[in-house]
Amino acid sequence: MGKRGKKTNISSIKERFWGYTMIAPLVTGLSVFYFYPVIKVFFDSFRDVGAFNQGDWCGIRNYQELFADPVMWQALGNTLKYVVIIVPGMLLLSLILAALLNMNIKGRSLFRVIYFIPAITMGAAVAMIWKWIYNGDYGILNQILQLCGFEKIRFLGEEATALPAVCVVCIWGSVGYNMIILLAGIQGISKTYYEAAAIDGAGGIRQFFNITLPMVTPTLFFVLITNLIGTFQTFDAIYMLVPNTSMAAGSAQSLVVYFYRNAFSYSRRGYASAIAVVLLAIIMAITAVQLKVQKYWVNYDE
Amino acid sequence: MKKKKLRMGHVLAYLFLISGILITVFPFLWMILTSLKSQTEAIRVPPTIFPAKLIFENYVTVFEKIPFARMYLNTIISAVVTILGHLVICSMAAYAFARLKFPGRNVIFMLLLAVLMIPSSLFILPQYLIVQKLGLLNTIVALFLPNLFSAFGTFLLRQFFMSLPDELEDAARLDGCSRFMIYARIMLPLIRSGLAALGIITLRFAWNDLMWPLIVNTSTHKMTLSAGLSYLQGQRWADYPAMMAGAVMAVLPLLVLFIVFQKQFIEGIAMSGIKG
Amino acid sequence: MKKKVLALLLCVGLAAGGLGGCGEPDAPGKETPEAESGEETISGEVHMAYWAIEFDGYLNRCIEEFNKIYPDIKIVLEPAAWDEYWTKLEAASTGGSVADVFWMNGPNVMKYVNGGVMEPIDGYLENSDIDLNRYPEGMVQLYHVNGKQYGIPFTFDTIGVWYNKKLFDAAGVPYPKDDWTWEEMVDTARQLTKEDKSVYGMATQLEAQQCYYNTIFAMGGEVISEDRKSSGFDKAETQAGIQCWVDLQEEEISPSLASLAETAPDVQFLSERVAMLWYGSWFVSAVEASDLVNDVDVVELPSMNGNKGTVIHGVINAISSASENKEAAWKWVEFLGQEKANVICAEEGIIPALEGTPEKWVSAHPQYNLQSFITSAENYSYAYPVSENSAVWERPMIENLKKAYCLEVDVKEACDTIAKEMNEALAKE
Repeated sequence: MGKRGKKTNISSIKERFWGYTMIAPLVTGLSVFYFYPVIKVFFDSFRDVGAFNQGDWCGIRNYQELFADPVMWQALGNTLKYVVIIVPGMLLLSLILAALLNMNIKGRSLFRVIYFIPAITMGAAVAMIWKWIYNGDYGILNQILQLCGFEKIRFLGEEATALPAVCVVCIWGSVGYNMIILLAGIQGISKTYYEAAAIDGAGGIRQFFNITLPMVTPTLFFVLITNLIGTFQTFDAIYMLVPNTSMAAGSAQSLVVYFYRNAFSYSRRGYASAIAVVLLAIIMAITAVQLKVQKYWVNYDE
Repeated sequence: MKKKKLRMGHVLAYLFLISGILITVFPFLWMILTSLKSQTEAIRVPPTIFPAKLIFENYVTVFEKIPFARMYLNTIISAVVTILGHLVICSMAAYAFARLKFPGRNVIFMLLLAVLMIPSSLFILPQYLIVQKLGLLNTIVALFLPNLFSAFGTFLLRQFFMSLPDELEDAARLDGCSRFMIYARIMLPLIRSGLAALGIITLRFAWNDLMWPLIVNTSTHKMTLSAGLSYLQGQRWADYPAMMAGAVMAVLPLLVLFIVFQKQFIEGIAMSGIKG
Repeated sequence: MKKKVLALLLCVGLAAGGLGGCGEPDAPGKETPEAESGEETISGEVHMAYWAIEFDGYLNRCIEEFNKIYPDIKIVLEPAAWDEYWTKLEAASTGGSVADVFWMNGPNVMKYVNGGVMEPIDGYLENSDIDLNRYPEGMVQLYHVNGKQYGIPFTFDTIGVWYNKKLFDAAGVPYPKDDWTWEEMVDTARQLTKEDKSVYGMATQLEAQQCYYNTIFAMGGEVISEDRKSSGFDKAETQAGIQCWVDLQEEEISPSLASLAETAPDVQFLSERVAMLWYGSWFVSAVEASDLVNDVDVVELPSMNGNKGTVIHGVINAISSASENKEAAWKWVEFLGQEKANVICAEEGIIPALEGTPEKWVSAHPQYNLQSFITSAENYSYAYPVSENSAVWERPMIENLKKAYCLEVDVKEACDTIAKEMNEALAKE
């Protein structure tokens, strides 16, 4: 009895040893490159850091300025617009595609492969292509519009169209990826449900709403959360499609882009840090809300 | 009657799918076509669909304007190391979090989950200063160093480890294997599909990342393809065909890899959704 | 319990170890003055950051010549796109890892001097045959801050009107002459603009250096007072220099501002969409590399009410105060300021700064009326207006002028707002 107890003890010490050893590289790396920066950014948001990191404490002045800054509010509004347009648009399209590709149709795998291509394409290249397609003077899209007798639209250069144009690119780039995840979720649904429904005489569309949709909610939730956070962080597309020199720069810049421009173009590091803290708070809040609300619509028993 | 309705449904489905395909593929087609035109033809109004004369020199121009071959190599090195780093570091930590008991485990894991939610772009500045203090600016190491540590990868692989039955480990422990040996010899091979999924997700990220390489490396010889494209685009006299040629070449390797390993790619991505 | 504490310590230790590693100040090895040594023994790598890919030819030829004298100094070029150049430079300067030699321009010089990023070169100049009197005085002064000299100008630029002869011929309009007036220019632009808008007469760019600073000077206005303490935007003359551009907005003789923001004016000019372009002398190399090499010429800016004005600006090669090889960096900077590099500069299409060499630039490109740039530099050039932290007021300046150009507010209102914000910013300097 005593002997056995001792053995467990030794083995549990060993277990602890290996536990700490095996997480050590990750924890060290994350501490240096993530936890420390979080603290640093928080700290800097209370300092007046300009170019070259010279700076003094300034209390909550950065935050006061931030809340009085119309450009920040506009950027925050833009960010919300991105979320409201991209996330539902992308979810809807990828869900429809996933449902269609779950049907018994020819060339399924080919469709799947082609839809997935944008997902593996470099964001910088994607932005470059779309910028060229959207170009108000030489772009193919405007040439087509003119051929059809419409007026030219300077998609990325006008305040009204720049943001939706960026949204289209974002949706184009992410539908295939999310469709694959949703399709896997749909395919994981037990066939017996459908067989039972078929006996009851339910058609394809009714089956979709009565079985597929409720059963795929856990996957849908995953896709929703990751894309919600992802959209809040959208940078590459906006940064490259609507540069600072564009007439529509203000009406297309998201909070992350505004953060970046403050930190790197306007040399206002302290102010940028305050933006980062606010953005962080928003993301945390949204995630918390989502986790709370999910039990009302996500169906976990399979 | 019923059959006809079904067929109508299929026709609509095909219509939807095919128009979707056209929208998906068109930008790529246009990119390739533009990359073969002369600059004068590329900006002609109204545009020509097919190049009047195929100009392959645009592809050469890219190599002349920027050290494109070197950027390829940098991107490959950076991607490979990042993947290996993720697979080793994350799987080790994931195993510990999933199957070992040690005080503080849950607290540390919760902190890890918090990292998942934080947009990493916000920490680019402190990260930059750290890399600078380490004296690694403008090096290949700088490209991948902060990316080696992934909370997401750990989270994903932990799910895989947790789904393995305990009995597998118990037998090995009776034989006197250390926990590390059990991880390396027995458990790791069992989550091969998880590792493949993580590898693919990491590859996609490492190949395409823009913001970090843009800031951290200033020398064109130390840039990645992404940053190189951005640099090409930022020139005063924008050479559209050369830019498109650069984009084609930057996208191509991953595309080929994807077409060859499409099954693994798609399964890997799908798995992340199910396990996550 | 003990084990728990131990584990906690281990964790904290790990975290702290990580933090400690990066929290330590890196000792940049206080420069120990190198022993007096012969020139030929200077060796090492010199990294050079600059922003224009068009200068590659010039720099590569200079490196070749330089290495004949200093074979052991390796020059490593680090070009960047203009937009990213300043971002990168600032990030790199923050911790002293900036390139050994980097380009510096007027609007940014004081910021970088005050940030301690740039090394004064007075000490080096004492033992050098460089004579600063042989460079344009305005340029030398621009980089003379707080009693210290920070660089040798290697190039300068002024603004002229580039025009496409083919489009003039097609419209049957005579070529402009150096003594033309603003009214004549506008009239010419009207005649060149095609009905279907496939060709515009000119480009009303929202660009300070290329456009409105020049007209402000021609109208007798000022951007900033001489003592750099107050804004000139509340002066009627300054506002007149803006008004003339705004007046053109309704004329439709130029692509819209949105169009110019999306497709750069020089691209539109070279793609024959714009017939006349206010642009700098640096445009020569791009023109020569384009399809329009033989169809383009340039004239002086038009006079306004009988007066002319052009912005003169120039770039220097600055030495980083954190460089570990300042000796070698200086040798490279010195070489770029000397006769040989200036001549290469001229041949590669860039105006060199050294006395006597700009003429070589003119004669190296006889097909263009490049003398106009030299004439304007000598007779009516004004230094690029700067203050200690120009970026702070330049941003609101552009934002407000954008509104005026878009006819959202009138010029007076926009300029008065600029003057107010600018004075506030200047008061803080």
